[in-house]
Amino acid sequence: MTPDPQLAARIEALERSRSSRPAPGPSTGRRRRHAARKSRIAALFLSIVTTGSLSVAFFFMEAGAQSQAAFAALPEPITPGRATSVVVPPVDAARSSRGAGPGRGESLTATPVRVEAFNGRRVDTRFGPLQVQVQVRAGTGELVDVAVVAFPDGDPTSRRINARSLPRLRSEALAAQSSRIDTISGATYTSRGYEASLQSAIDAVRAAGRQGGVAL
Amino acid sequence: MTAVRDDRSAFVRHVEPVMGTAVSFELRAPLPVPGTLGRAIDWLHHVDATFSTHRIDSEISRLALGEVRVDDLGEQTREILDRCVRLAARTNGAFDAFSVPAPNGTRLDPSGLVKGWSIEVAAGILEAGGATNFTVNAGGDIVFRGERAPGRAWRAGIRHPDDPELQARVLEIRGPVGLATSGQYERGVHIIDPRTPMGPMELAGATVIGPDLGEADAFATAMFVMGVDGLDWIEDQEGYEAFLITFDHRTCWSSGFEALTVRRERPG
Repeated sequence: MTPDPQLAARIEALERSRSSRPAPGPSTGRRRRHAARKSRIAALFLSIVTTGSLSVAFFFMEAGAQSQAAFAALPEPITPGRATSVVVPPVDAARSSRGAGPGRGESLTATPVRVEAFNGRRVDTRFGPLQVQVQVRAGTGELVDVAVVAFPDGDPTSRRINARSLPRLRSEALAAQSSRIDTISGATYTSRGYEASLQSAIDAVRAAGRQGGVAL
Repeated sequence: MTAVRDDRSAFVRHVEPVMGTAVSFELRAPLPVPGTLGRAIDWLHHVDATFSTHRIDSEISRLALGEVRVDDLGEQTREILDRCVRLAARTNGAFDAFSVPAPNGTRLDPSGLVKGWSIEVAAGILEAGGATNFTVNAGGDIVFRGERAPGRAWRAGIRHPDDPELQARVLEIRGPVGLATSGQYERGVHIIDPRTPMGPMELAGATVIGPDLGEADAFATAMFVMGVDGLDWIEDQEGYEAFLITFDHRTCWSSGFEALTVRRERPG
């Protein structure tokens, strides 16, 4: 075996020249735009409404039924909420935690809307304190955004995760699903591991000639 | 190979043990011309012989052991190594095939790209033979083409880290798309110190979906290393979305991922 000083200086910087010339790319380097990209903004709003609701509902469930009822009663201010009136661009409000890259759909934020913000009660979850701010469109009460103004920060890793996930409202507790599926993605299993995998069960059922996904 | 036909549809299923895992093919009508699947399978065995870091006689192992030089390698092997160099730069070193422990005792292991890439090429072989609707699942990394049936998307589960029978998410997918997951389930989240410094321990799993499975495979590895911070990075990778499961059983995902998700579904 070679002594491996940094894998022979990374195979002599891959024999020097190769990486400096224009890369031909492999024969399969077809690029197709992701279908989901087109509906990115729509998805973001879907994310806000569904995930935001779920996240908030999840945490408020921990706080008890009273808070749940308060959430369900939106756009009533959450007692003892304090309403403030602010003007925010609707999309940027949800994307504020991320640097706005140039030319990445930001043109859709042109029209600002007047929103009212209501601070929810600060509650103690099993992870630590949580306080949520709900922003609704002035007049109509339509939900615009849900922001976390205080979140559990008991340990450094939680803080890092929270800083990324909670303000984006694209975070929730892991939930198990059991569904009709055609195939399953996971960390690579070995040939032996395959035998114990759900994929092998799916394959076996399909091989037996049954149509349709596996109902589990 | 098992072929099943009925009045309304025809499909082929095949499971091939290769590349240290099992590769599951599912082809829906229209089926490719005879011999196509065999060519795709032959290709995967060729990749195994060329790139395996479990074999001491593969091109990759011989390069890593100093027995051959880059110029002695086949063109495909050189292209893959070039691509690994570019991916290391693109992922800020989070995916680095030149400094990971390999089964052959060296630190050169491009497997994180090779598996996805080889399945992507296999998909091209199937398409060249006339197949338009199929999935190929290589030990959890999957290419999708077309639909499961006219008007019906493929449904893919992302494995729950604690239970191989359950899914953390279910996605509806129409090809062409690649879906790859990197994770470490077996260690178990309960024995990990929550104060472990940032690093792979932050996540139980990272799933990436996008137009090319080779890239998605490498990106999933990179995201697993990056942790939750990787969400910022993936937002800049055009066409790719990610779904992460944290060590403490929370999930977060990139902005375009939600559109693919089948919402909560529980059987009676």
